[in-house]
Amino acid sequence: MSLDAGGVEQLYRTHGHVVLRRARHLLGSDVDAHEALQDIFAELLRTPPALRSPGSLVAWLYQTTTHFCLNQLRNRRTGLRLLDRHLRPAQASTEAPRGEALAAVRQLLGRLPENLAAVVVYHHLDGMTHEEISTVLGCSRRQVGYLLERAHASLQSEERSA
Amino acid sequence: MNALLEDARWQACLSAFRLDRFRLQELTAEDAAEVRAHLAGCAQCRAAEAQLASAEDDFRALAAPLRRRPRAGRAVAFSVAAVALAATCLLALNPGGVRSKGAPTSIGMYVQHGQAVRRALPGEAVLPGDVVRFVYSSREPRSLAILSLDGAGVASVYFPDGPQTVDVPAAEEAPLPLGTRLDGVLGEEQVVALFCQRTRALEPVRQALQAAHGALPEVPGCSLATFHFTKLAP
Repeated sequence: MSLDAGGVEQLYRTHGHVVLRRARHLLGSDVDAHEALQDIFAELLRTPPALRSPGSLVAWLYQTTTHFCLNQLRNRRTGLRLLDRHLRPAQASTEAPRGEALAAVRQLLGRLPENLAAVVVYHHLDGMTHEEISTVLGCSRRQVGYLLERAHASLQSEERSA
Repeated sequence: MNALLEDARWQACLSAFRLDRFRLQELTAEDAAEVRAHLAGCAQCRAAEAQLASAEDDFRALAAPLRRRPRAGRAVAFSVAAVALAATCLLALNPGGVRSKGAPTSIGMYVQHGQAVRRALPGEAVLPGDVVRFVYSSREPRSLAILSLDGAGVASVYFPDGPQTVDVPAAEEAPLPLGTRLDGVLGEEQVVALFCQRTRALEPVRQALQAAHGALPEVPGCSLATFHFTKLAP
């Protein structure tokens, strides 16, 4: 199944709120979330997608939004590192977070490999079961458990070295 | 870390994913009935479902119509008249990067405002005193320069700090070794990146950009990538 431009615009009207809400949560910024919403759908218009799971547009939008936002977090981290290194004495940091824990989690997500960060997002921030995550990622539940374990190990390692 | 994840975790029995699928009628009749029955007896999940409904209301009220515009840093040909980038502070930095997998050539921008750093999107609003710096992506080694055109129609070279384009390696999101603190000139600004096959003198290009009054000049042997932002009054 693929979407033409009309299908993408219809999808924006009916499902755009899912993308916007999750982008807000993942990026911690209304402005960034609205830009993410536009960029994600503009990209769909430019390259109409072939849907792997036509039965679940929600699953597909979860995956697309997560991928986009994790890239944004990684880019943000790159910018932080670069500017922190080169524009001293100013201390670089992200915009004011809504919650301390969530802000800290966002920073950690930017440091994890994308596949590990994604399962952390799905499992902890979206509350998804391993089975639901396997639906979104198109892998087995065992693989989801493996990825979660690796993610937790990575995060614990970071915590120890912090 | 586990404590952080615990504090940030989704606060309902049913996942956001299942509730979204329920609300968008993706579940089978049997699954939907199961969710409905659960919601009837679980205040926490009803609250979560209400949050999703509220977010949908926000979207309907606040989200702009879908724009048909290119993404950040795409190599596109468009004309923007007014520009207002002026470098008041150039800082030496070290470039670095990895091989590109994405678009053939593109540029992106980061903005530091006070203590906060953000990735800029096309049309980003910035303020005098903000620090901007650019990153580039290119699948192939190129000779690179970045120019800008201000609102008074004056073109200037942002990078490099010399008369010619500078050879750069293939890279993705590689930072340019100059950062710029913006001055007080307000308005919309166009930034043009030149990705050339070989080294090119910049003064003729700068003059051509200035003479074109915002239209992109033809530069043989070079592809152009553009970016624009708007400097607002504080």
